[in-house]
Formats: sequence, C-alpha cells, structure tokens
Amino acid sequence: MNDLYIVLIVTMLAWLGIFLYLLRIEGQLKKLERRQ
Amino acid sequence: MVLKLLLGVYMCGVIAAAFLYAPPALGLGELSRIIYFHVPLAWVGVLAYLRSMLSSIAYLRKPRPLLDYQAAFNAEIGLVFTLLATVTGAIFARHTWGIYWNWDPRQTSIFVLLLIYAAYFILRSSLEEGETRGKLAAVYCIFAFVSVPFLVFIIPRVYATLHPDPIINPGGKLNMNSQMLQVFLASLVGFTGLYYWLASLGTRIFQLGEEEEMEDE
Repeated sequence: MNDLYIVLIVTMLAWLGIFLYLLRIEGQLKKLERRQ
Repeated sequence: MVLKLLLGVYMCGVIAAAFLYAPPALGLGELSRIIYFHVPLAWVGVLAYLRSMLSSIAYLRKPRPLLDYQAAFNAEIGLVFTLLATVTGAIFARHTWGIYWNWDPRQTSIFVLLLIYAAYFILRSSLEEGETRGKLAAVYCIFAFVSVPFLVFIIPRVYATLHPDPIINPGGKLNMNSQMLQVFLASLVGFTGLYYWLASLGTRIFQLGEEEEMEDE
C-alpha cells in the first residue's frame, strides 16, 4: 500500500484514540457533576 | 456534547483533507503535509502559554486557587503541545536535512522554551502548596511568557536557519496555494477547538475536586 495511506490511517487512528479517551473523561466528569 | 462530537468528526475531515485533498508543496513533496499538524501544534502551545500568563496575572490580582491551577494546567498543555511540535519538526528535519537534530536556531530556541517551562514545574514542585507558591509561580510564569515571542517568532527570523520560511512571510502574505491554505486554516481552527476542550476539562476537574473538599469539611 502507498506510504501516504499508511500515514493517513495511523494519524486517523491516533486522533480517534485521543478523541475517544477525551470523550470518556467527559462522560465520567458529567456523571460526577450530576452526582454533586 | 454535540460540539465535542462535531469536533471529532471535523478533525477526521481535516486529517483526511491534509492527506487526500491538499496537494504536496513544491520542492518538499508529500512531507510538506506535516505542516497541517506541526504549525497548529505550535500555535496551541503559544495559546496555552498566553492563557497561563493571563491566569497568573489574574492570580496576582486576586489569589484564587482556581487561577493558580489554570496557570499550571495551561502551562502543561503548552509544554505537551510544544514538545509535539518539536517532535514533528524533528521528523521533518530528518527527511529534509538528513538529521533529526542539528541545533538549528529554530530548534535551539524551542529547546530553550521547553527548558524555561520545565523549570516552571520544577519551581512549583519544590514549594509547599499555598499562596506563596502561587505568587512565586505566577511571577515566574509572567516572565516565562515574555520570552515566548522572542524564542518562537523573533530569534528564528534574525539568525540564518534551515527552517522553511515562516507561513506568514515578512511581507505579511501567506505563501500557499488555496487548497493548502483551506486545509491549514481548518486545521488551526480544529486544534484551537481541541485546546479549549482540554482547558475546560482541566477547569471542571479542579472545580469538582474543590467541591468534594468542601463537602468533606
């Protein structure tokens, strides 16, 4: 496969990983805020 | 929450556009695509340092723990993003100059900047938590920010450097074709959104901790 597509897929996966992790923190924060 | 989900999709679009829509720059080839990440990372770094300095000034006027925390948290964001900008810059250097690090004025000035902010955290960790630490750290943070424009914008322009011309040249014009410029600006907007999200998460985590402490008392 073209190197460009490999870098694109790796970058996209890295972003999705960061994004999902941030969403998880956001969700947990919301839960704690509601509890308070 | 909707805005955050939109940011996630938007950034996926920016990444796809950086690789599939924007053409490679003349002379630099496919590697030029790193600019859509390298420059926004450095931009967020400067933005976070600015916010850290503003929180420090506010703390000196009115010493509230939240402001001290915001100053430190934003400096942390700034340090992480500057480090990422340095790493992406080194990758670019490896493929264009043949070496990851050669103490080019741009690399040296960013290294000094990293050291200045690393010293900020050493200062914070060496003092007991309280108003004295907050005030000392705030004064240091304000002075640290004074060095940012010199280290990021002025020194690399004064000395001869291998670094490609800054995006905005001395004539104040953007040297990019329109497709590249669209992706570049879209990336700047996306990274700025990501920064605000990170900064707001930090503030909310601190506020939750404070409320919990008050409940315990």
